Amino acid sequence: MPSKMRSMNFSVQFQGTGVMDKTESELKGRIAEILSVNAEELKHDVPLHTMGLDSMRMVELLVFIETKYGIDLMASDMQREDIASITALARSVERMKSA
Amino acid sequence: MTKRAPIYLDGLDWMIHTMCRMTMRNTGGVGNASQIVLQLDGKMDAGSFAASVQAFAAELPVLNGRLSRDRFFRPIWRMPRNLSVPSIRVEVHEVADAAVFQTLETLVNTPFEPGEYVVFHLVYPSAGDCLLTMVFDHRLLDARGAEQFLLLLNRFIAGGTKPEELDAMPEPQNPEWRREIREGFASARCVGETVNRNVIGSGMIRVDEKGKARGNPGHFRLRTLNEDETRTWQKRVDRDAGYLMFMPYALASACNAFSQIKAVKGRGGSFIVPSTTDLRGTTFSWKNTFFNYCSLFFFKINTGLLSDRSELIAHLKTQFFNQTKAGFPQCFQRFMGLTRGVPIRLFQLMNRYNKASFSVGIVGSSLFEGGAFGGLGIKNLFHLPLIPPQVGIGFFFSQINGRLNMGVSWREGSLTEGDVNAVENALYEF
Repeated sequence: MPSKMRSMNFSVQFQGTGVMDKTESELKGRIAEILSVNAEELKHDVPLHTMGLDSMRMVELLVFIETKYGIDLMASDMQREDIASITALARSVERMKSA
Repeated sequence: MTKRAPIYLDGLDWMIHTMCRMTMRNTGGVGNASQIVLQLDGKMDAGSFAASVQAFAAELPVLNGRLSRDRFFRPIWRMPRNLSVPSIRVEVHEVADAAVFQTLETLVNTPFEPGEYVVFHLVYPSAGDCLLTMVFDHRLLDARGAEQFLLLLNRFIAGGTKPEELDAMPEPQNPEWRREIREGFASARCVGETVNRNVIGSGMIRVDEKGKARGNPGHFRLRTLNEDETRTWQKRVDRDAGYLMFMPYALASACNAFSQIKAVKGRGGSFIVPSTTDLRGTTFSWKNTFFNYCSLFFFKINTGLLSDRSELIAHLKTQFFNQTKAGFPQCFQRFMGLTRGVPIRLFQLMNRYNKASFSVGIVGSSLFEGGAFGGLGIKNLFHLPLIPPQVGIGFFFSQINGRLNMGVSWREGSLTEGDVNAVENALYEF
């Protein structure tokens, strides 16, 4: 692969990771607010229900996602694995933003 | 005993107080009571348990309080000036196995004695083991608060909490009345819009007209799912409503069950459904044990939606989302704060129109998850709430140790035996 192409791919990947990190961080911050806990206590890859989220608090999070990113996850056909952790949720938000 | 300063009641407490008075007038003495039942895997000793309860109650003068008004006519929970130790009755019942559930019904339909808000019963079935039940008045405890109260008692019995460390007494606050009144008026628009959209002119369907008759007791039907059945039900929640969407799915299940009642079948109109939600934060605090932290959502379901399961669930999810986005439960709490200045008789008149098709209460996972009580294992824990006659029928859901309890509560005369069987099966099979 030519070196120019390699550096372009790296740049795209780097930007994507940065955006993903930002989204994860924003979602984590909001979940911490909803649960009244420190954001540092939350892990990115554990199921949301084990953190203490229930229906009411999940919907508060979905309201945040709609307001912040303009994405209506409530009405989408998201499966459990698409939204079950902070990382999965951030990935889904990014995918839907770019769709 | 410390902290005897009066406690100011908020709008939700005031609503419960007025509803309780109306219910007592209607039933001839029984107010808005509920019951938590712990099915234990051994026999609790009545004598030592009663002694522990009395020692525990001595730390909680709030149990000796009563409704009063301060000099500005604001409702308060006033505790007696003279030092007196609250007393909580502990009664023992030895019953045949077949009569256990009927006994539980009788206990929650028995009026409290004056100034009494909590009573314990130890029910010993002939086959062995024991049921510990706590009947409580909603003026002092809501469902989650009652579980916290039991959890606190359990720690006290186990010796993990010393009396001086017991700090569940609510703080006597100094409310900022002007700010609360401003916030109440600011919330009126949100409350008015939702009530206007979901209640007024809705062609509400009700079936409990006979159940409103004076003195009609409340009845219950409870179904405890085993772990496999619970997993299957939960999989359907994930598949059909989505991850963490238990509440809209349970509501849809309740709508479907209600539509199985003979008097409802084929009727056009709407179901108006208040559903309780807990406004406590996720950070646990003993200070949130007493009084009410439950607000409401109001759902409206046109009967035309009942034939399309996915449409019904989607419709409920949309309403759930919109009301959460508008902050309706919090607005409702702030708005109800304004009613504290309304004389109780006038508020009761206003409440006369406060009707619903049925109500839904979801307690969620029990605080006793994986735990024990008084050194005995907990086989099951369930709530049996009396439904106010203004509502007539209620559905309730709670979970413990991977098992779902689902139940229906109704006033005598509003459902036939056939209706109850149909409702129970519809709830389970949805």
